[in-house]
Amino acid sequence: MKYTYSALILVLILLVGMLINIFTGYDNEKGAPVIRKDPAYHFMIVTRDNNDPFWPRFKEGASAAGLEKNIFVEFIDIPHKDPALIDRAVDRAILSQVDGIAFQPYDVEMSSKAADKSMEAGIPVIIYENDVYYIPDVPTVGSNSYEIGYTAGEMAASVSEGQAKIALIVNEPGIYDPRQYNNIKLQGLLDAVSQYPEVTLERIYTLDTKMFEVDKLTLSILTENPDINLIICSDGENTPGVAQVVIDMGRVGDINIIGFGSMPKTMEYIKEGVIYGTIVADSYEIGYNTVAQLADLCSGKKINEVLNSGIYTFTLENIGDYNKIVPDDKW
Amino acid sequence: MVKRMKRFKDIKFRTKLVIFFLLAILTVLLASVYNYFSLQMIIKDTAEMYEKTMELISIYRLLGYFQNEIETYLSTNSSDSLLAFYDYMNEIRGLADSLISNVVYTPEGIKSKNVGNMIINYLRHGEEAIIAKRGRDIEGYTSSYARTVRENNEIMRYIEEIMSNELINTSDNYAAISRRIQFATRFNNFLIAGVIVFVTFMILSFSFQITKPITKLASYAKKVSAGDFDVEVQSDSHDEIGILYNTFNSMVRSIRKYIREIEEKARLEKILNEQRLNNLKMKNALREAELLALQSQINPHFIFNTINIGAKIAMLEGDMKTCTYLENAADIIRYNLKGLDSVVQLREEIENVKSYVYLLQTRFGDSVNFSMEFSGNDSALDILVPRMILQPIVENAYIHGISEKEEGGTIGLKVSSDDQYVYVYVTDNGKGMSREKIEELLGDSSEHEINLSLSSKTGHTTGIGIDNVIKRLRLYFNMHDVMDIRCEGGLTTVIFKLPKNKKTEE
Repeated sequence: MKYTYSALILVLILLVGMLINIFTGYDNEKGAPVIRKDPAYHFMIVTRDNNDPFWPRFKEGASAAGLEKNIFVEFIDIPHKDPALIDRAVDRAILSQVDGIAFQPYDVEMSSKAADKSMEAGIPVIIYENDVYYIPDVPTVGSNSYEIGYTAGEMAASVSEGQAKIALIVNEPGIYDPRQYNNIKLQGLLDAVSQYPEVTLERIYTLDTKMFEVDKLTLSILTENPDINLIICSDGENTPGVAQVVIDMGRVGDINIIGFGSMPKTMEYIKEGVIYGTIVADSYEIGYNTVAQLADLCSGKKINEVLNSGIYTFTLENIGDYNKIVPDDKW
Repeated sequence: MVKRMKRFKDIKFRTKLVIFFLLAILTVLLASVYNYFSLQMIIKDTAEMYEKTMELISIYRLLGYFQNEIETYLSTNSSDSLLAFYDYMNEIRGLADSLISNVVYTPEGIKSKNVGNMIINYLRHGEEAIIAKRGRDIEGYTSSYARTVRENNEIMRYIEEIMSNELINTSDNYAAISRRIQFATRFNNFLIAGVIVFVTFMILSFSFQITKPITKLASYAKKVSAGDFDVEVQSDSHDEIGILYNTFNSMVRSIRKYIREIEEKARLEKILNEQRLNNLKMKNALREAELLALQSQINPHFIFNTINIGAKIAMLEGDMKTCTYLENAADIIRYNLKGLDSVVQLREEIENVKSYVYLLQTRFGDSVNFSMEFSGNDSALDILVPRMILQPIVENAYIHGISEKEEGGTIGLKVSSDDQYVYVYVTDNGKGMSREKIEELLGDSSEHEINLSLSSKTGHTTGIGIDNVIKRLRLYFNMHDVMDIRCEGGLTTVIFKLPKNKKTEE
């Protein structure tokens, strides 16, 4: 008899659990925690909507800073690395009379124009993780390009045991192409490999970020330059593409790859030994600092024009540390 | 703690039933509540979506009308368009203000504020175009107009995006909630069916649990009613049934105890009655034996006839003294022969005593003196008394009193009476009687009486002793206090207390 009562009580507990689930589990506004009261500022940050773990972590950092400083952070996700989309998002932000705008520039002309429009409307603007070019008077938050280049050089020397012919793939910066940031990155790489006489940078390839041309580019690198035995890809989204071509050509082992970012496929290729290692930006810190810097700017404080955040490197040896450093796996 | 916790089977049936039904009701209730809230959620969500969409659609339409009025005014300078422009502007501004003031700071909610702010900007630029047109600032109104077109498109697109997102989100929510409702409905149906089966099973189970012990108890009760008081119902639970069993056991034990007590009492009463009957039978037998014995001791007719003939011979011989002597002896014997079971007048008894005293005096001469005194009403002598009550006393006075004295003695007979009693005093101045002897004679121990009556026969005329006289008087008058014996001042007096009216035996 007592089992009967126990069964009834279990059913009751189950029902109560289901009811609680209805009230707590049902929420239209899922996602990162947001400000529910009147915020001090309303920032609009243009972000990407893809599966790069950089973005969830970046948004998490930005939201954490927003919560901490009572700022409402609105993320405008764009589907492609299209400067026109950034321009439109900035226009909308200006019309919406937000208090601050942040975006990652994908070209020179339109990104610069968008920043100018924002400043003309009296809205503070910041660019983050800008590895393309320098926009005067617009503060930047992100990884140090020189450090990225230098680390990549060190990793190249390490994987090739001091003997490598390197092909470097960088993003297409745009019409005006000052290539300042790429130059900085390149400078870091060159400084690193200069210590190893037999490690040489054979050629630099540019990649149109709008187009899916990494396959074509990698194929041409490998066919046109048979001496190249190491490819460094500075774009996170295209790193798995480079590795895939190497696999397709059966050159795994001959060609070492050093990538960027922590796309799941990149991490998987590291475990499989296709990619030697990757350089990962601390996107949480970048997101956090973006909001913090913008808040300081809004409140009239002087801020550093460039605020660098740290980077991590992962190879087969320390890939296990990835989840320790990023426990929630949201990069 | 464990001791203090009530064992489940010790919980009363009523409590078990109440708990069970409450749980069952609560289960069904919660299932229904779950279903209800699931439905409410989807209704609320859908309603919210439609409300928000309707609001945005309203703004969307008004923005279209507003833009048309700008174009109309800029191209025609129509005052109607101007009025309509301001009407729309006020209406749209009110809606935009409402969007801004009712902002919810969530990723979706903030978009309403954005739309509101975009509309405010747009309205301002629209108004700037109108003002420039009225001020004939051609360049001003064309650039402002171009701006309003761009902003109008942007706002419209943004509203479309919001509505689209809202629809997608709501659809997602709807799908999730629909799945939940479907699950809830299935779960609910299953649960209700389960609860019905369960409740039915439980009702049967409870009925069985209640009726089984009662049926068992009824069978035990039947056994008890048939006289088997050794039944013991076993139960280790402390619920109502346990209490019923324990009470039944107590009742059976009590009945068993009382029955045994009654049986014991009946047995004792039976033994007592048997003893009483035996006693009665013994008493009757004794009385009968006594009477028979007494009767057997009386001399037969032969002796009487012999003496009577002797008297006649003496009279013929002229020896009158011998004749008188023998006549008196014959009188005594005749008197005896009539039997002890008959009653006589006191007078006859006295006459018999006189005859006896004559014999004594003839035999022993002057050593035996006799005096007689009578006082009171002569009718006192007419009362009926058992035969042979005075003579044995007088004889006793002689044998145990006077005869043992050399000088002889006197025997006195006195009769007196009052309203109720006739008193007869037999006095002698013989050797007297000890107190113990008196007490022994007057005592009511039947054993003593029997012994005395048997032992005091030797030497007596009739063999009747004082004890026999007393006994017969007590039986006849049905009273105890019929005789007193006093021994004081050298005189031994036996006092008869004879009721004038004989009591009948109850």
